[in-house]
Amino acid sequence: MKLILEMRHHGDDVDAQHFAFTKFPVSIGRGFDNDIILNDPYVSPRHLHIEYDGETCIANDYGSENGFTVNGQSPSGRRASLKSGDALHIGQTEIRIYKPEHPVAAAAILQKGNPIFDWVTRPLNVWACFVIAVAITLCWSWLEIWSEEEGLALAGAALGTIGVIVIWSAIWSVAGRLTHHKAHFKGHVALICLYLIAGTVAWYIVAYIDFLTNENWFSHIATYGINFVMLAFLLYGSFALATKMRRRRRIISAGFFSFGLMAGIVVFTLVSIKSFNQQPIYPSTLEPFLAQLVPANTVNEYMDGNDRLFASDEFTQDKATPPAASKDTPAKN
Amino acid sequence: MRQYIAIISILLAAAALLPALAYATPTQDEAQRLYQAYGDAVYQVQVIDLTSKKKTSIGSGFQFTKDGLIATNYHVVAEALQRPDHNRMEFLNDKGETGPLKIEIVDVVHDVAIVKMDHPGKMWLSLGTSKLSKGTQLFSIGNPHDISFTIIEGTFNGFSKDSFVDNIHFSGALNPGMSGGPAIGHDGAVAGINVATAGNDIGFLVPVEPLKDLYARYLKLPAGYNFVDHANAHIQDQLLASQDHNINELLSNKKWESFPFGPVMVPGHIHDALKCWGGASHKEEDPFESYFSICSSQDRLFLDNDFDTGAVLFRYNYIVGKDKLNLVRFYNLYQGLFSVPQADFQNVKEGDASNFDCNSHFVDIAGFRWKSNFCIRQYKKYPAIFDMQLYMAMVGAGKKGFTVTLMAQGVSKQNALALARRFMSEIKPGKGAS
Repeated sequence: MKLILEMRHHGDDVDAQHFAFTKFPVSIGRGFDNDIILNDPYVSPRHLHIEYDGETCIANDYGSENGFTVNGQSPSGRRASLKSGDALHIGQTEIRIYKPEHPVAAAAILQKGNPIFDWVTRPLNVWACFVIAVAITLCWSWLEIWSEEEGLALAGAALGTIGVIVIWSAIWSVAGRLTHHKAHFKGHVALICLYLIAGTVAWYIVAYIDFLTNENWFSHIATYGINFVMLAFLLYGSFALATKMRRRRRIISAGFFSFGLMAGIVVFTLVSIKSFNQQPIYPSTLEPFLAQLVPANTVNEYMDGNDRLFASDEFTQDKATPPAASKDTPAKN
Repeated sequence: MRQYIAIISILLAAAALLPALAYATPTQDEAQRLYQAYGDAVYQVQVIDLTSKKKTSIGSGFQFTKDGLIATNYHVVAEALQRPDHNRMEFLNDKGETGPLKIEIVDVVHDVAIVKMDHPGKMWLSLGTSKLSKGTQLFSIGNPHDISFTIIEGTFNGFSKDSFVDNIHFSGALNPGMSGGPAIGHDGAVAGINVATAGNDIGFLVPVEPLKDLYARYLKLPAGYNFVDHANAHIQDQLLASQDHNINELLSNKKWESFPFGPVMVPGHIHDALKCWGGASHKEEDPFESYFSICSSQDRLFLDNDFDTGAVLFRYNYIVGKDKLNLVRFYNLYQGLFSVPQADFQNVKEGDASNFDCNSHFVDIAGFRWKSNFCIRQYKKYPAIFDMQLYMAMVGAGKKGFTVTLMAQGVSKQNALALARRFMSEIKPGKGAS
């Protein structure tokens, strides 16, 4: 006569614990006189006990405050019978009851990784990402930056890129080592390299959107949107490699962090724009290509827009009306 | 660059003044006679901060009516007019007597103000004319640097030609603190009012006529009218009239002189009030050649501390990338040039004007495509008045960059638009341009 109890705490990412019992009843609660002691504020000091006579298994509530559920269903009374494999929820703890003869899969099902991560973190692909990332930032630097000392500038760009990759990966590896006992250095290298590659492409997309739309609302949304998505993906991947967070929590964490950063930048920008600036702030992105593809105004159309500018909310029009001085009446002498 | 010669509790230039005091000329006796005869009509005008009880601004002034009206410069009394709750005004005469002053009316365009004393002095000056012949001797009286009342001799040298407002060019050693003092002829009649100095015995006087006009307007004010309460509206009207006059001077010139610059023909010398100059940079190590041309007016209307207006300016920058620069790099440098504005607007302080708001679009002018930004800001005390900037960068002309700046301070909506429209329409395709 033996039962196996498998325990899992909600919100805990560690593997389940297993206990085997041969003597019944088994009492469960927060108090130290129980057979299973749950450090859970939602559990009463003496919560319930499990009876087993070799045939039927019954969960029996001692009269706890929060009760229990079986497979998500509240029992009709204080008692509920259990079959092998049923999940008992007490407070924030899940306890599954197994009979020894309960069948298990012939081969252990390993947790499935993300196929893209798995592919990218193959050594060859990591190296490829690394080489492409360094090459693409070198290309960007060669295209965009004019310097008297060209070789030095390129070497600086390459070293800078490699430095960012190594430092980023090293920090996350340490974090992974601490929480997970796995560094995943190559995985982090692959991630940051992909981020740099995507970032360079995004840089051009944003620059041309800014240039062609004259930095209107669409270009602002595109700029912040693209950066938000890229950073969120990077963080999601880093969390996946370095922590044992569940997927849902990874998404939420990466999303919140990235969103918070973008929101902070937006607020900072708005504050600096709204505070007094002596010089005008105007769209100034210039790119060499594609300007001929977008529609342009004639001088008359442009002047119509300039006329409308005076009616904008920025400029208080109500005060602009009555010049009191012209109403001066001549003195009667 | 002219500099206003009133101003602010500085007594540090005593040493610099000694030569002026020791100015011994053959006319010394005449100066002595004039000072003895008319000196009693000249006062020091002080604006005193109510909290610290210290002078925030000093200048000179002279009584010109029997009933105690004193003429001075607007910039001497600006502090008292703009912040009446924090300042009071006092006069001080040669005998050390003091008394309160009250602002009656101001003209910011000509920098003239009329203030009144409660108990009129016994001496006042008559208003003469500024229609004098070149070389006429004038005597300027005032209290330079708060040292003591001084009379200096100088020469009437006609009117300054380089501005929208005619000022008398006076060859004499005007100094800070003498602002608002009279410049009188041998007959003691006022020809002008000390207003500014350009150093080295180059001084400027406001002709007496704007004072006469202002006095006439003053007489038309209703009895008991408190000008200070309505000052903003009056000043706005004066600014509107002034900018109307100035911008009309530019726009009424039907044929703007233009010249070829880079790939286009652009306006050049369009009015005598706008002085033009230019230059180029041909450094071997630079990745591009750069050329500039700029035309700007010398006019600045003082409104308040760190708040002036009235400047008009246009500027062209033309850059040509050298062979060692690829197109993308050229545009990166070009953008760097375009994105940093050339501090044209330093004329207001926080609280005087709103932030700029811009209308930005691509505009086709003279066969080229231009990224154009038309930006305006509004004066808070004078909401019908704006600062305007049109800033355009030519795009898509290969390794050639051309930026155009047009800037006008203190203009109405209509004039800002009319000037920008005219300016853009005056940019024409260059000879033999693509």
